[in-house]
Amino acid sequence: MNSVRGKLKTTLVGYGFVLPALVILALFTIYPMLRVIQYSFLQWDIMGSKHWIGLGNYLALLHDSTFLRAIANTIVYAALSLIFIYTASLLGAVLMNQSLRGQSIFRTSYFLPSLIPTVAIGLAWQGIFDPSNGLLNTLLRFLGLNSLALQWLANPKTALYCVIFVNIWQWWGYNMMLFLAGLQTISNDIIEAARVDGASAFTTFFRITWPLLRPVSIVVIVTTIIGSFKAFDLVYVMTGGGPFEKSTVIVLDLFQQGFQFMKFGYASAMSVVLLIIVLIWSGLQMWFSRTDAE
Amino acid sequence: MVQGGVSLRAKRRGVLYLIAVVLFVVQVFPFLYVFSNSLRTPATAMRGFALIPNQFHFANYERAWSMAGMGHYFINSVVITAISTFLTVVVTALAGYAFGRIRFWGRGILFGIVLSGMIIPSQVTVIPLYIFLQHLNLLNNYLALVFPYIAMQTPFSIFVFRNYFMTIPNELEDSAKMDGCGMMRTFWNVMMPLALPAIATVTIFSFMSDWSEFLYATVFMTDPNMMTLPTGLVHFQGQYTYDWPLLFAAIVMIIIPVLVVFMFLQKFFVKGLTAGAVKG
Repeated sequence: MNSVRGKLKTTLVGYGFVLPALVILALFTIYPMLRVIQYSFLQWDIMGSKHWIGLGNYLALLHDSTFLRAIANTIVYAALSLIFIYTASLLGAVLMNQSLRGQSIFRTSYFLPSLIPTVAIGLAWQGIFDPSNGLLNTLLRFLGLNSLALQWLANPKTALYCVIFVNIWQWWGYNMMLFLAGLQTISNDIIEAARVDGASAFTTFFRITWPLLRPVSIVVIVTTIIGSFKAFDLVYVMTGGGPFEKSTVIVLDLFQQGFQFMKFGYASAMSVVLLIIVLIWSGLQMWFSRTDAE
Repeated sequence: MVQGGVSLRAKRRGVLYLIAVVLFVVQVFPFLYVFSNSLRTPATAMRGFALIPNQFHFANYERAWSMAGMGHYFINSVVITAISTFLTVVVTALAGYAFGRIRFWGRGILFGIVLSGMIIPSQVTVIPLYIFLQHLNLLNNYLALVFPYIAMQTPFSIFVFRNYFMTIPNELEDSAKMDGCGMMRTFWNVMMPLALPAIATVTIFSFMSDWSEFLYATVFMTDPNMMTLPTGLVHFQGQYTYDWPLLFAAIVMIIIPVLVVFMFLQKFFVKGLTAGAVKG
């Protein structure tokens, strides 16, 4: 009797403690997430009238050349970011694990950009890419490479790649810190044992160190891909998706459809597509880490 | 033979240092470039590569702060970030404590729901949130960002607090109970002071996220009087295109608080940065 009452009291106290956080989470994350799914089935015009059109928005997306362009660009953004961030952060971590003098300054400088608001990063690089006075073109002209001094962010061939470059610049150091933390958990005994057995530094790295970093690799790969699919700030600030939508990405397209054209139903369908992509990657991450644990 | 080995080693070290220094320059130069040009007059800015201006021209900062409204955006950002971060720490510490140390019915399911919130991207909910906030008549109100910012940080922060509170030995709590402390007293007077590292981690992550957030701020705060620094910066750029020294001064203003917080909490930064990733 007493223990049942005690249990009840504990439960009430427990609910009291979790209530504020859960109410905020429910109202401002979970409820909107359920709503966006519902909205994605609605035709919603500017006047605010809405009616059910089933999968209509999704079918329209399949023929929307801007959205398809945004998907393709986002995939390029994710793929290039992944390749370069992964390679640079892994090699950077190995470099920073060599006990160089001044390594804490090097390390800090490498991940510093990841701490800075992306909007500030985008604007700063816009200055660097500025066609007439920017640092990049000034440098190119100084080196006599005048023909290479392009309108970097206004050129349909280069705009997207400039944004991707800045994204890599901003994030590789952060991921390097993750690999570095991983490297420091690997015991020296294993490495030394391999070296004693006559394995070269190369073989030791590829056969022992790298496989042992697999849990970190999974985190780096998945967060880089998901981060790329959520890209917005940098693109919005640096190119606005232009020129001619050549650098638009999913969230930017969603933002424009929703808040410039007020097509809330249509933009909601885009949101759901994004949600599904992110859920798939999160699912893969869980699956990979679980199979590792077994 | 031996000498050859030594010089090879030295050469190898040399190459490693060279790579490290080149990367250092690539990562740091843009910041120096911005800072240096923020101190020049528009006529002398962006000329050549010299990092130290002939004379320091602080007028850009004055112009940005008062004339271009950065001061206003700055205050909005400080207020919103401070309130959001403080409330995030309070509500998620409470919840993390309960999930970690109080055995109540339904704890597992509720914690599962909290964790699932971690994978919902904030970009996905921007449209329904806008409509919801419009209904509540909260657009262009500090609360339009405060609540979503807390919600954004909730799952991760609860996770951090729960894991931390789980490591604290029972004896401390038990002795507090013996002394007649209620649950709430125990929490505030005994547990919270012990949870300083977790508080630091959650504070850092909330601060960084709230200070930088751009999409919600753009959509929910359209009135220039209510804009935060990131949106204000973009708004401001639209008005002062190609006045680079002015823009760079504004960029420095948004960066400085991050650097200050970083310098004070450096130890926790690096720990928090890698928290969770290595353990998985």
